[in-house]
Amino acid sequence: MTATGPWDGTFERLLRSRLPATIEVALEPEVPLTHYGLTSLGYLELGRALSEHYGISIGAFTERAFRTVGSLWHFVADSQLERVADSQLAVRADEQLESSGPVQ
Amino acid sequence: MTARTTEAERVAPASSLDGLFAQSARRYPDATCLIDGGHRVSYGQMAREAAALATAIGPQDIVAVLGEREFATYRAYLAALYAGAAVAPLSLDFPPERNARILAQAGIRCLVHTDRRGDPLLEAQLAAIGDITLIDGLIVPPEAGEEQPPDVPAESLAYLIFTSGSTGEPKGVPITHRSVRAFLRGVLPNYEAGPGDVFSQCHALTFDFSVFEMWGAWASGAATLVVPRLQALDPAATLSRHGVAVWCCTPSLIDAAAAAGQLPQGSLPGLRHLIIGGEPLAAATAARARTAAPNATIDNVYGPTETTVWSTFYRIEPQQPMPTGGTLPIGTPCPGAHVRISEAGELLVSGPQVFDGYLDAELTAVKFVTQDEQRWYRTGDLVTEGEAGVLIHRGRIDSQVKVNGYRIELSEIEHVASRLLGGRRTVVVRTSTGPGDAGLALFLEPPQVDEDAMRRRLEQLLPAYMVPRRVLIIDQIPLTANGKLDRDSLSDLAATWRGQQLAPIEEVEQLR
Repeated sequence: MTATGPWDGTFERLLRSRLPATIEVALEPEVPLTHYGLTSLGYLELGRALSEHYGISIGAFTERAFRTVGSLWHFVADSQLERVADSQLAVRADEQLESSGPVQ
Repeated sequence: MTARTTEAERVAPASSLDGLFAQSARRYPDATCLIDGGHRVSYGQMAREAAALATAIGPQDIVAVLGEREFATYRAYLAALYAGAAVAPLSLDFPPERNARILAQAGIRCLVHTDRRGDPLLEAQLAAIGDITLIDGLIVPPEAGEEQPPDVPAESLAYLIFTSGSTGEPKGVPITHRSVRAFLRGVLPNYEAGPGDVFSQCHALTFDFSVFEMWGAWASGAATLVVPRLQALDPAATLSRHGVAVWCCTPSLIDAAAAAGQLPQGSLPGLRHLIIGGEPLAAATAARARTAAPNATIDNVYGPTETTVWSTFYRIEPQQPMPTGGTLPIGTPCPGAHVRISEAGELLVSGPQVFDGYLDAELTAVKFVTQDEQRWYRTGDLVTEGEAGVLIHRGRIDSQVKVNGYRIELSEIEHVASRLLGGRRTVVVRTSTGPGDAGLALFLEPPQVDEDAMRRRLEQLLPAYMVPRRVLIIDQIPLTANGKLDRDSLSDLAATWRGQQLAPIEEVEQLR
C-alpha cells in the first residue's frame, strides 16, 4: 500500500486495517485516532501489530503516542532511530574490541 | 521498608486531600509517589512543585485540568488542590464542545493545560472554550518555600466529575473533601499499604475509579503507577514489571486481556489486592482473575460516582472457593455508609460518602428521598439481599426495556445465554423499536455458534419475547474510554442490520 503521509506503507496498512472509519478517507497526521474509530481493544491490536513489525516492546508505548496518526508515526520512527543508533553503537564497540588486539 | 503506622493514624489528622498529600510528603519525603514510564517522582519533589504551581493558579473555586495521564498532569491536579480549589479533570479524548459545555455549566474560570501551546489537539480544545484564565502546567514558578496547602474545610469541594446524563448533557457530580475522606477512612484498612507499595493507575482521571488509584496510594505513602491504555491490556507483563500490589480494573478489561491471552494462569503471583469495579462482575470473569492472581484478595466494589468511588464491596480471600454462575454479590456497605432497599427494589445509600447534590438542582430533587429524617441517594440499581445481608445486584432500573408491554431485563437474558455457552461473554442490546418486534440482538465473540440451536435453547429457558432475534459474532466486544462495555457502539452496530436482509452469521464478521 502506498503511504498518504510522511509514514511508510506498512504503517498505513497496519493502521487502516484496524481503524474502521478510514475506508476511502485520507489519513491526516493531526487527527486523533479515536476520530477514525480506534476502540480500546483496537489499541491492543494496533500496538501488537506495530510492536511485531517494528520490533518495539509493548511496554515502551506511551499514552501520548496514540493521540494522533502523526504522533504514533513519530513514536514509531523515533523508536526505529533509537534501534539503529543502538546497533551502530554495538558495532562500534565490537570494532574497538577487535582493533585493541589481545591483552598483553 | 518504613515501619507502618496504622491506617487510622495515617488518615486521621488532615481534613482535606491536599492536607493528606502534604502529610505523606512530611512523613515520607523520599518515598516515590508517582511512577510514569522511567520517571519516579518523590513525595518531596511533587509537594514542592505542586505548591509552586499553586502560586501561579492563585485563588480559584474550581480549576479544570486538561492533559494526558503523565507527571505534569498529576502535578497540576495537586496544584489545584494546593491552591485551595476543587479540581475538575477533563479529557483530551472528549470533543472540545463537550469540555466547553462542562466549563460553562460549572462556571469554571481557570484551566491548567499540560500540553504545549501550539499542539493541535490542545488548540482545538482551547478554540471551543470562551474567555478563561489559562495556566501552562509545564511552567512551574521558582519554588516559593511554602509547601503547606491551606487544608481547606472538609465541607468544601474536592473534585468535580462529569458523568453522562440521560438527556445527553454531562451531569456534574461535586464531591467534598468530607466524602473522599470518609471513603478513604472506610476502605484503606482493607489494603494495608505503605511506602514501597505500588498501586496501578489505569483509568482516566475523568472516571472516579482513578480517585482510589491515586489517593489510596497517596494517603498510604505508596506510589501510583501510570499505566497507559495499551499496557493496561497486557496486565501480566505490566503489573509484574513494576511489582504492583494493588490493581484496579473493570470486568471488561479482565475479559479483554484474558481473551487476548495476556492473563495466563499464575501470571500475577505478586499481586496482593485485585479491585474490580465499574460494571457487574460475572463469576466467569472473577474466575479468570483468580486463575491469574492466585494470591490476591478479589474485591468486587460497587458505587455510583455520587456516593464517592465505591460504597459497598464483596471480598473473596485467596483460599476461598470462587462463586459459580451469575454475577458476584456487591457485598456489604463500607464502614460509615448506610444502605437500604426501597419497595421497588432500588438500592438507597446515605452517609458521609454521599454527595450533597448535582450542579443541576432539579436533578438533585429527583435523585434523593428522605426517609426517617435521613437523606438517601437513589442509585437506580436494583438489588436483593442474600445471606448475611450481602447485597446482590439485579441490574439497572433504566436498563429495563419495555416490549409489547413486557418489561425485559437485558442482563437476565445475558446470564442465561452465558450459562448456555459455559460462561462466555454475552451482551444483549435492543436494535429495533418497531411495533411487534422485540428487536433484541445477542452479541458474542468468536468462536461461532449455531444460531438456530442457540435460539432454540434460549426459547426453552426464556419467554418468547425475551429471546434475541439475532445472534451476532464480532471480533471483540468494544469498550468505552473508561474500560466499560460500550453498549451504544453495539446498538449502533446492530442497527446497521435493521430493515435489511439479515446477513447469515458467517458474513457478520466480514461486514464488521
